[in-house]
Amino acid sequence: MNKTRMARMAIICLIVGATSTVFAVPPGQVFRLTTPVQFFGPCCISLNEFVQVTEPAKPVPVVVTWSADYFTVRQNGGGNVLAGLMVNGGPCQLYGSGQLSDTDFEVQRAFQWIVFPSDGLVPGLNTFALCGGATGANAETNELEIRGSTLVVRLSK
Amino acid sequence: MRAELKAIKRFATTFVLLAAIMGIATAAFAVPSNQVLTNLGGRTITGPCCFSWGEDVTVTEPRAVVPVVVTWSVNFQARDIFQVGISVNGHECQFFGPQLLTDEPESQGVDAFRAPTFQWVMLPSDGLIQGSNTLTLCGGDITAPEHDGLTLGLRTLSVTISK
Repeated sequence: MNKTRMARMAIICLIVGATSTVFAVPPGQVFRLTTPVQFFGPCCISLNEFVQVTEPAKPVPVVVTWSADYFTVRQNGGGNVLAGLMVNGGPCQLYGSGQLSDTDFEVQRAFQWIVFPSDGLVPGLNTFALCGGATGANAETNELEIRGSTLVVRLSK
Repeated sequence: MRAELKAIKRFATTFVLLAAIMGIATAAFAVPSNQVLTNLGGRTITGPCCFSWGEDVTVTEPRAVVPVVVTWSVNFQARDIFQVGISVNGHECQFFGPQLLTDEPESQGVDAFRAPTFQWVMLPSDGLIQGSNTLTLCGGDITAPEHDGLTLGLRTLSVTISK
């Protein structure tokens, strides 16, 4: 095999390898909860669900999807219960819809959030933590119970 | 002249090779038809959890098995509480995240159709194998199986994987 042929083979291998890498979804990009967890108190606290994604040198928007079974219990008509994201340890913010229905029975909801580079994404590893809690009067007595959920992050291409 | 022909032949071979690779890459981005299920007619499901609902998608895992994300978007109507999950390759019904189909009488009114979307994450340790994997909807009534059934309306089931 001459040098030219070897170089061609190397390029082809690189292309095929790059294609595989592009499609890979590392385990860190998905999170699954199957054991119920309870949270009490005012917004905003970490809800202990985390995903990570590796951004290229020039960060691109990411789409985070949260799907959950949950119920909320609000005492004395206390305000809202919200869910959002903490990007790279920053403050808890909403990146789309985030209001959880006022229910005293279990419901299923899915939320899709879009995080832009200007929201604090950096080249390399980025961490997204689910966060939330109650707002308004008597927020400290409100309860959120997540019975099962998944959190998934994907880079937009 | 011979040298020119040789150069043209080399160029053509390289071009065809690159086109083939690009074709493979494009095909990889497309969602194969077996990974989606849609345009299903209405049906009623009755009986206690858990049994197969006979609606499935398949996905081909590479040698190094990777997680998959299954999304089920559904219109449904139920007066009882139903559980919904996935059977991986014909094994028992398992739950990979949210799993409840419940009526919401206070906000929706009895007999209203609801439209939730479920996103489930399946990890290699959940029974995924190299090659073809069949993911089948399963579940059933977990409250009063002798009462009303679960009415399914329009719905889609899809699976996405890394390759």
